[in-house]
Amino acid sequence: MARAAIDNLLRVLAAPTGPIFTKELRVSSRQRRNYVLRFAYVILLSAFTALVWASKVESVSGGGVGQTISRMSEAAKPTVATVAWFQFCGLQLVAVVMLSTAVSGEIRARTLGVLMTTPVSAFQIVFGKLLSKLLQLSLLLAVSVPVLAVVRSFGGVPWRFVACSVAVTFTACLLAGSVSMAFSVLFRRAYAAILLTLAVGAFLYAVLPGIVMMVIALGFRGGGFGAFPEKALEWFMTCLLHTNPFAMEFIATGDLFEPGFARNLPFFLWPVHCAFMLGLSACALLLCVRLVRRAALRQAMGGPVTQDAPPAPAPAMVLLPPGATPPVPTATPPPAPPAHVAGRAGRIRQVRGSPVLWKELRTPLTRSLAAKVVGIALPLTLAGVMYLLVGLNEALDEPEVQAMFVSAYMVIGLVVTAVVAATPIATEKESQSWPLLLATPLTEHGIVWGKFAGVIARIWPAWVLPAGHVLVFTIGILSPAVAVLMAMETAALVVFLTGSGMLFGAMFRRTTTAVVMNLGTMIVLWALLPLLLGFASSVWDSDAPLEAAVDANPVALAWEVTDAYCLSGHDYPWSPPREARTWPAHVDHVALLSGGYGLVGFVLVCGATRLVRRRVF
Amino acid sequence: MIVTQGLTKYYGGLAALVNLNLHIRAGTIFGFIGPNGAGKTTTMRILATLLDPSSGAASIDGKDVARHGRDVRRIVGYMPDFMGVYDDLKVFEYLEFFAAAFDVPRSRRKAIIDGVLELTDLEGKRAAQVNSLSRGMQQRLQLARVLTHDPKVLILDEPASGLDPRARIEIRELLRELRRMGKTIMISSHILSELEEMCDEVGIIEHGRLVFSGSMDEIRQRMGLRSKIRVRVRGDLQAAADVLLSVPQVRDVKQFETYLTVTLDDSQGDDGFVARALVNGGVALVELVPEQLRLDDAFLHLTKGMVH
Repeated sequence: MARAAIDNLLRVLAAPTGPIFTKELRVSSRQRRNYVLRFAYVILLSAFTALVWASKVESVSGGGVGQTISRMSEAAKPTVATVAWFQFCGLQLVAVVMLSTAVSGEIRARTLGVLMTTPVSAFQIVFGKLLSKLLQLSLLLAVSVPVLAVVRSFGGVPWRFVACSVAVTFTACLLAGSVSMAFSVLFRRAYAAILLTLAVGAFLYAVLPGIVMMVIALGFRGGGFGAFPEKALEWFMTCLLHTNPFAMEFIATGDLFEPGFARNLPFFLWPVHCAFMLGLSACALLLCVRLVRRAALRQAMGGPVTQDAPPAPAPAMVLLPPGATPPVPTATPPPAPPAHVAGRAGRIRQVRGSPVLWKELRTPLTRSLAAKVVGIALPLTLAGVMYLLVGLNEALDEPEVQAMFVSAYMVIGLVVTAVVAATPIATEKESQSWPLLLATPLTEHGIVWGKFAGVIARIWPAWVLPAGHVLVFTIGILSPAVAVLMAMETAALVVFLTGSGMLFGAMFRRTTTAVVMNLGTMIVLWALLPLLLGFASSVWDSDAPLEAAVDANPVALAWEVTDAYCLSGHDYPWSPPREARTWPAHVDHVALLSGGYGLVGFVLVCGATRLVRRRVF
Repeated sequence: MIVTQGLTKYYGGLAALVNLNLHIRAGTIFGFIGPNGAGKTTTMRILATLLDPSSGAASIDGKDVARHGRDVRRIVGYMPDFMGVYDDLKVFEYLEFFAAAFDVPRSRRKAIIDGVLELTDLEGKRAAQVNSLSRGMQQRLQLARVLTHDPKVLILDEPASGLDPRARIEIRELLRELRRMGKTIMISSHILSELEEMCDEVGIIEHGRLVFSGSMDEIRQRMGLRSKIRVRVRGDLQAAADVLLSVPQVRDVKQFETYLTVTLDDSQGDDGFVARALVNGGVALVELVPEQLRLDDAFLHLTKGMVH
């Protein structure tokens, strides 16, 4: 009896490492992109570590042995912190990307329904996939262990920081991966799963805490919390921090550099945070199991599985019975159209002008009505809440607040542009209509520029919020110069990102690859490169590289321009602006940057034109 | 109409086509057959200007496909072995989109599209979403698409794959109609019996090399096959066999349970003498059926089953 119970327990425990787990590992080992990913990860990690270390070498060398040892222990801290933060951010991104195709790949290959005809359970499918990816993530995490061990031998880095950082990173990756996998059940396009996971992360880790903080600030400002015990508020804030991995990593890093950094908090227990994250991950995974079961059954029944799936084709014609009279190729009574077809059978539109442009203009950003409603209502609601809270805190006229709004909108606009721009060519390749288009006499220029115009037509909703913000706040808070300069910058960036997106679309067969490459270009150019150059500036003892990187960063420029041309709450539109806020400021900078990005974008579109007829199949 | 000379295509180190020489006459249906991976689709993609050959040349209506791609595309209708449909278009819009892409004047588009919809029996589906059509209808839509610009040449890669018998017969009839309209059609298919019924000439390709090109009669000659006749008689089969063996043009007679198979010496000659010999020999003849050379047999005979 006891033996049977133990056997059952072992079977349940071994379930996640069943055939799905084995298959996933086998397939992963054959995918070249996984090796490229690991290689790129190690190279980047090494580059960051080397630059941080090099920037501290000068301060380490010289003096006596004792002094040197003491300085080395000091140099070890920023190095270890850099590695920890790199892994914390990098591995979460990798987890999101890796698991974004976990289930949609099975749905696309129509193997999910087949799996349901075997004894494999939805639980095994989800956990088998998750564990195999976690194993690969653990490998990446383990890559840094030798570096951390060597650096730690210099002293100054306590084990508890390393343990805390690794645990926080691992649980954050687990949650990010679980959410990404849940979205991969709902959306067949991997980039949709990636973007939605990032949006959920941004909401949970930035927007939601920001709203809570502003509500608390509002409470203090209005005296609403007057009767509220301050100690209880501290505890509440500490609990809030324990739900946020970025806050945990930040406090742990602060404690590394300044022991006792967290002493002002009532408590700092990273295992509590990890337990909370594990709980959230478990909820996401349970949801995922339910979704997978439902999707698998739908696929087995032949229905549409994902939210963005095209409608299922009508049933095939019935086979003729034996001995039937030979069929005649004349009009057969058309079967009644399925409900979804009948519902969409509306006016037939005539093709006018360039056929490619006509078709691109007809292609919506999303076909789903629910997605349209959520896509419009959610950002507007969130923006409304933020404006309301900032307004109630009387901070709307603060230059930093204005700059923050414009920069945040700029990031959203850039991400949407990068994603949409990478899809038109790659999507045609995936739907196999690309060869048909290329078999027509349309020129390469006609096709690419038609799609370019289509991208511009589809992305404008993403730029409504920043444009609306700048225009509305031109009344009294922002100088009209912001509108002019931001319009120049935005136009150039749209050309640049559309050009790079078209190029990647022409280069790759998969939409997801093109989208990830375009987003990766953004991240490398405007996040990783400035960071690397920042460290390099310390090594070369010159601020020029860092300044160049910051100058080329559109978000930083948007911040600078908005900040510079904000007629602060203490000024009035009719009052003479301060010297730094006069019209010529930043104009040359914006003009140079816009010209540069616009030109490069144009060159990239031309490059895409040359690649159109290569790698057609 | 379609000529290839020494056409060769390599994918990396893999030779997909080796020195392919084809000559397809105008106004004929040319069946292109071969095992999977033999190079049929590669040849068609080169002719449709979607792939560049590694060496050699191909021309359609005297225009080189590599150098005058745009001119070639205007006279070719290419139907690949997969469905290339847009999610967001209706049937009429889909066809009009391609008509516009082929520079068909707007004033003529409606009439042309109505015509091809009627020809492909899709009139009732003009307002349906393209991706909601069944596979058979999507195949017919593809055929309608390649006809919108009235091309001289049709290159059809497996147009009947995955279709039910009714749809296959309909497509076969449609292709015959197109031949009557003067189109040159190059078609590949795995259903050899269908090609046999409608093709004027066939090309058999294996391992990237053309192993045969010509009419069915030329295949028979090439294979050195002799004519066979199946004979059914009333009464003694042995007596009938004896009568036939006495005829000089008869090489061999095989006796089965209810009939005889007679192998003749001359594969091209008149076989009426068999009936005359039997009647003169006092045998009650019930049935005399010449056994045709099947394309399946020729295919099996000429190919070795090698694939990449």
